[in-house]
Amino acid sequence: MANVQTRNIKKKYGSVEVLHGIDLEIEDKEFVALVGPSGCGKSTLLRIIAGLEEHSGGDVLIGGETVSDLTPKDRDIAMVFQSYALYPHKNVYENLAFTLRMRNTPKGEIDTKVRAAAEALNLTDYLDRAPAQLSGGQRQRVAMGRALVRKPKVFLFDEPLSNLDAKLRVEMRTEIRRLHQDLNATSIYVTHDQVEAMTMADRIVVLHDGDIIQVGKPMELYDAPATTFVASFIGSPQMNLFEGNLDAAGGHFHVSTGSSIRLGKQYRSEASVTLGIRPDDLELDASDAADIQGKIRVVEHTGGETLVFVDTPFGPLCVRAPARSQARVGDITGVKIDRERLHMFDASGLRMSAGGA
Amino acid sequence: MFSIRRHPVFFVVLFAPALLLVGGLMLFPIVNGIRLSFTNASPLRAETRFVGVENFIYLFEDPRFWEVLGNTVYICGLSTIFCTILGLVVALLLDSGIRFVGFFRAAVFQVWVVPWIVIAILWGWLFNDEWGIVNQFLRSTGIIEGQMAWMFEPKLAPWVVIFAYSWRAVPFVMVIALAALQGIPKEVNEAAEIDGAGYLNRLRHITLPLLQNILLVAALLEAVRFLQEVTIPLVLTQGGPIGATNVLSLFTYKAAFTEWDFGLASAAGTVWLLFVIVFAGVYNRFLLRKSA
Repeated sequence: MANVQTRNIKKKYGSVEVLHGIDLEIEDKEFVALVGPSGCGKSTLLRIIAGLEEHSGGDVLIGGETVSDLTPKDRDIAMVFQSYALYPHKNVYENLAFTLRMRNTPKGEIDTKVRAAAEALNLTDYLDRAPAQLSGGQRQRVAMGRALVRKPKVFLFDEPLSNLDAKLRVEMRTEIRRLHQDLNATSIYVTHDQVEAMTMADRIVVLHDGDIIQVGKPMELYDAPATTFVASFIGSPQMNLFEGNLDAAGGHFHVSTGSSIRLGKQYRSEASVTLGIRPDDLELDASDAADIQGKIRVVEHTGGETLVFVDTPFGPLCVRAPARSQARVGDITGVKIDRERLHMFDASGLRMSAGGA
Repeated sequence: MFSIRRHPVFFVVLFAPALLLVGGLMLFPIVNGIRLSFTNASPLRAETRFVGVENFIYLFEDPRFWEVLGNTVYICGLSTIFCTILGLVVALLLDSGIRFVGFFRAAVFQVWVVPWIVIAILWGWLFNDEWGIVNQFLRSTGIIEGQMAWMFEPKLAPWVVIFAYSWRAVPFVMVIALAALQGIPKEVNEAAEIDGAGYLNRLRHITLPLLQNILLVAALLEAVRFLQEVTIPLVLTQGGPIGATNVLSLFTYKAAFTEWDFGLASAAGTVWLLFVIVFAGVYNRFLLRKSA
């Protein structure tokens, strides 16, 4: 069992509190991603779990036991750093063997384990090389190998793919996921890239300004973001958000320009709300049945799909259209809304449920 | 465009100042020094005569000269080792996350701006057998009774010089080691920590191997500096007692400016030059390359 728990973790730098009491439960063998923009405290939280940083309050538990007083080496964790942090003066073999040597593993066993890890990561041909002689992707794999050679209880990843080019990043994403399945160890993965989080994690923890905003499965976060922050952070291109207000009955959404949309649902009446619609839930529609009229400002062909940016009375709007869409800049077009997939947030940015009083 | 073949004069004109400086200030003295070592040049002599290798034969037949070479290796070698270790220790302390690092770094570096002559005089006071603070301290703590004649014991005097040398050189090694230490990415040490290495293991397997080359270079620079140094033995001990602190630099200085035997001094200087060249070469070949 290697579940990881944080109880009311606080972190202060001087008088500035950067983590305001983080409560988190990570199941055994789970792959959890911590996401959030720079400075949200996700790396700090990971480093506190690793024991590299001291927390100012609260408790960290691994396998049900508190590890707050243990040094990193006694927590039975492994960590992959963004900068790889390989030992520049040691070759690949020595880099992989170091942690085993430090734990007084017999020589024969070290050799077996290092070669097994190298095999799993396609590094067998590079065991004699110095880190400086390796490519970025190979260094990344050595960093992973150093973590998995010891089979620790918990893997910690601190933005491990940020220094790779786009193609390698996609490859390594699958690789890490595969390793996680093979090793069956609890993994905590910090990233600022919501695509990485969405594609890799069993569950995502969204952090913002030192607080957990939402925890859930990737599609839960996508379908029901708890706040406008999560709504705009998860999903690419990001969700269209419009500020306006609801009428007394709560069935129509008005913006300051006077235009309004029928929502097809009842919300409690609020003076000031934010309406969210994902680009996926919009459709270009030239017929009279269209909900909004607007003028096409930009058309981006990405190959598999087309992103159409439309100026509407509600504000600029992004629509995800099929590939080879005939939309042309300057055209007047109608946009149809999937009313089942509207998101409504109140004045403080919290999600509102439909059908409520 | 401006190739040296097409515009030879232009290039010579441009290079001339640099060539004159290097030639006049470095090459000429070296060549002239070597030339003088084969003569009996002296300001006390009306005529200078070529004497072949007589000066060298005289030097190597003189047991005193061998003693001087021994002293030089002993004093400069130990000073180099001590100042490197001490400088490293101070750098490690300053890098360990203590507060007021800037203050301590500046404080340690103060030593670097103290002129050698001041150190020589200060050391003379510190180690004075009657009223020096070192003896005062040793007496008051009961380690010795009476007084230690630091400057008059052939076994003790070299240590006073070694201590002065090492102390003066610590800031240089400290600054270089500290810069190198701060150049080691924080994550490398953190990775080692997670890999299970405690402080001493990290020092042994990570920090020291990464600092090895830079420390060896700093040590080499210090060794050469100690080999050149004349002030401390000259002012503090005048090479005594019984020649115990007579090092090659002082020997050469005295031969030239006390005995006015330029030929002999140049011969000693030439030996010294060869010694430094061989030492640096061996050092470069066997210590630096291996760790690169």
